[in-house]
Amino acid sequence: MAIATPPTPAAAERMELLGAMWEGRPGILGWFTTTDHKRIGLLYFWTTLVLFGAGGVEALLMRTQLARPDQHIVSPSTYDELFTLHGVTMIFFFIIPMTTGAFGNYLLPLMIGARDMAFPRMNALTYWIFLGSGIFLYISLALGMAPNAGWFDYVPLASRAYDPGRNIDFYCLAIIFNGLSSTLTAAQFIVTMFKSRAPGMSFNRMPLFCFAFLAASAGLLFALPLLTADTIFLFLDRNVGTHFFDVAHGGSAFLWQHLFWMFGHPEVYILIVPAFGIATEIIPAFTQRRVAAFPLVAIAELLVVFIGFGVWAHHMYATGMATITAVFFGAATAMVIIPSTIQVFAWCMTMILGTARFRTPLLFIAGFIFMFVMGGLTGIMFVAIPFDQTVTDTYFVIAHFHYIIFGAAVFPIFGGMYYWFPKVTGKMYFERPGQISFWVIFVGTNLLFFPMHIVGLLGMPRRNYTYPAGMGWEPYNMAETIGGFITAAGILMLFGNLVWSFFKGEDAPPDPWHGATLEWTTSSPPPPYNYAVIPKVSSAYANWDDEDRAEDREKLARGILVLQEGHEQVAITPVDGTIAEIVEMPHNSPWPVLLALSLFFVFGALVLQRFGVAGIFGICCLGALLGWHSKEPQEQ
Amino acid sequence: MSLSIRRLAVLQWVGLLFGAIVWTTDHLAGIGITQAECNATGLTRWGLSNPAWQGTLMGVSLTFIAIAEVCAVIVFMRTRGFEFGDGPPVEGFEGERKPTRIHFFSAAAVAANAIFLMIVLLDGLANLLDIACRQS
Amino acid sequence: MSSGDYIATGRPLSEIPRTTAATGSDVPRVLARRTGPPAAWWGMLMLVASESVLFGAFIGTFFYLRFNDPQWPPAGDPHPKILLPVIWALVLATTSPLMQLAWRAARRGSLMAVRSFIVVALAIQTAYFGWEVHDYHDELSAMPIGRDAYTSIHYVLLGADHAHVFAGLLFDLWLLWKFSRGITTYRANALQAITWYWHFVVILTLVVTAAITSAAVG
Repeated sequence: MAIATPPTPAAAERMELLGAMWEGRPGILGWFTTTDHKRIGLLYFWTTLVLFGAGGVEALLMRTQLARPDQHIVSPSTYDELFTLHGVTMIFFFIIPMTTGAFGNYLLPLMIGARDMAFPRMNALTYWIFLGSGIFLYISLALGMAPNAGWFDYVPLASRAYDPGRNIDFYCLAIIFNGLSSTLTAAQFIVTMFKSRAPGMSFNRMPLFCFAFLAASAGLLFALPLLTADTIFLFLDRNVGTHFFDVAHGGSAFLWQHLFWMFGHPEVYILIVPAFGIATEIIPAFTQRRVAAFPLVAIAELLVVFIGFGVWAHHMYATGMATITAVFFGAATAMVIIPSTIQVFAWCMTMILGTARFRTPLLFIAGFIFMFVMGGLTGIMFVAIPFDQTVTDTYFVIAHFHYIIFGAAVFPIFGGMYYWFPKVTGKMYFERPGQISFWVIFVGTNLLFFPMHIVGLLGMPRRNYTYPAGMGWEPYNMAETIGGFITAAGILMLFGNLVWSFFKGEDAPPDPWHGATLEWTTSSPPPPYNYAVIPKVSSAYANWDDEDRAEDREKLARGILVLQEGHEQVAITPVDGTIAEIVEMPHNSPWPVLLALSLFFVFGALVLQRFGVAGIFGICCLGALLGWHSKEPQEQ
Repeated sequence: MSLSIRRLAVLQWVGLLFGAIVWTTDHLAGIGITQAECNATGLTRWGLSNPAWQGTLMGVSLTFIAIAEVCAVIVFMRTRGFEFGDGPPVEGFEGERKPTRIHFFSAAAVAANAIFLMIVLLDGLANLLDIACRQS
Repeated sequence: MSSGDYIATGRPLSEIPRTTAATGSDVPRVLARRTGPPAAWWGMLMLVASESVLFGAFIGTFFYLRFNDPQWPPAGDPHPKILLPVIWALVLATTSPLMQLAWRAARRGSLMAVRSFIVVALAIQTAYFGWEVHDYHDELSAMPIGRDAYTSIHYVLLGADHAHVFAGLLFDLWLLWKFSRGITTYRANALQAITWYWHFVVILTLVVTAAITSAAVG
């Protein structure tokens, strides 16, 4: 039951007043100064798609080069840049910003019944920093100095002695720059979920999507500083002459690996956990059943990231550490599988016990479960240290993580695009082409990644720009290349369908799927203020609680909890969701984009080793921060 | 012994957080001990007996995680009858927001502590049975 | 249907404070009715959590490199001083309760007390920072950063701590400027958040001092 249509004329008047108050500035200036989480989500979405395209082109170039043995379509040094940029782009500039920046930003306030995030201007800042960091990284490509030591950039290969150009300096600085965006996003999500939920939404009544994003945000907050420390050390070693990683002067090359993987392993859970959240919302909608074992699924999402902080050295089994050290990581790795398994069982049980309608979003989720289980099975194999040491740095590893990342992160993203397309655009997508796009992508990705298991076991190493004939690897590589192009075709079909549906699709009702969460109570697309009445929440499946939704309509008619005296939102107590205060929210502001611009020049100066100039732009950043905090809420 | 909702809430937090904190400490301490034992400095200076240290660490950690698990189970049993928060909401639900939350967290804690127990048992036993500082 | 009771277990909607708009003498009353820290405090907690992990990485690196070196500090590097750094760290620690008193004064609405406590804290913090910069500079002339792994982590760990103290000085100056124009909930929230920042920096400085001076013993 939606409050898309006002119940009384007085209600309509209130909604109009709210609309006028929350409407952003018109025109392009409105987009540059927006603090509306929905607009920011859309900005993230489009920017991420461009970068996804870049990462995809990098992948197809690599696959073309590897289709046949002894090819020289790209040179070895170009190939190094391709696999490095592909990894960095897909991880930091596609999956994280697409799940947290696009889906998270757009949907989180809607799901918790809020009008905006806790810190709207900081939300805008995260987008502009993300955009700046993406431009920063790809400037390195334009200058022919793209990072070229792999996405995990091991020393001593990445040290000044073996990589003298600016390539790795771009890597370090782009990572730190991008990390700022994700850290701020993570802090934002956590505070928003603690303080801005609708009254009555105690912690255990949060949708499972929110638990997933809470887990990912905590992961980002605690993992990114480790990578920041690591890249600071590398930047200093390369530019100031320190010796963190230099064995000859008391440093340790392993230090890089330890710090990197202490970040890197939580990072891979951060990649897939938001996608789990997307899956746990699509499944109830298309089975019309609450998810089985609700508290176990919620804690599993948190546990996967939490225990995931303790498994990092399983990426280092081939470095020769003592077995008594390695077993700590083996034990934790073996047990971290359990929370993931709990979730898979719960999803499957929900689909079996409910009445599953395999529309396009649920098809993608079914594909996700299949591919995630495949990737998980090879992951378990890696727990056996001797096996791990045999297949380290072969295509078997690439097969494993692509099944996980493509299967467990990208498939839910695609499913989520279809699922929320009606809500965001107000149009229905075309179902038949949607299903076809799923099958083409599914066939393509399996053809692309499955043979990698075999060719890896046959000994083909990763990160080699070519391979000799006669090793028996040729048919597998050719199949993978064909699979890659089929996948690309499927993805183009998907986006073609969405674009066509945007222009030619039927108008979407507020709640086409009878979804479980609050965003389906509002219009498609939602009004700028999200909810005319702050919703009443009694369970984690608020849209299915008809009495509460009826009470909301009544409150709108009587003007209770409409909060139209200003740009207002409620704040609650974190655990039990009792209303604590009413806060005034900021509106359009130029400071986020100005601060991000100053930061861009700071990083630009650093990569050129102009430390004084960087300092000057640092002062500009302080100026932007002062301007940001100059106007107080009561002065608005 | 009947427990008030207030006491149950405290026990719920113990059950949920204590096990996690103990496992984290055990994990970092255990790794640190093996590093101190087997690194350049450790071989010449510290001369620890790895099984002795690791056995003690395992014993202490298992005890504390078991305490957390017992708290979680007690709270879970005492809040039986309340739903978990995924609804549908029952009549007179308002008075039940807190016990529902407690029931939810205790169920979560029961599962989490069981997993932490297993991890500590696995790596502790391996350290007791393996030869110290053998390269993998 | 009463919407009041479900919202606030006993508190009707009219009693829920509109906190962000309060100024002057309304502030103490509004802060007293608030049931939990504001979003600004939670945001600062997130920053503190993130920076704690950063320093955890630095300190972990310090000890990891130490376990790798049979001699620490390596031959030729002077041992760190113990007495002066510890004394200065304890001096800085006195500003933690001072900032807490400033926040308490803001909760009561006594503007003069707020300003006085911040000024005294700022003076002590600036003195600490001044001595640290002087000492850092002296050390660098005797022992350059690029000598070995010990010097690398020593200066980065210390330098990061000093940078956080410096950021705190800027926060305090901003607070003084804001409070020179009166008291509002916004400013009180900011003071609450920055007070917690200083608690974090004080604990951080004590931990970093302990780590750095540990190279002089054992």
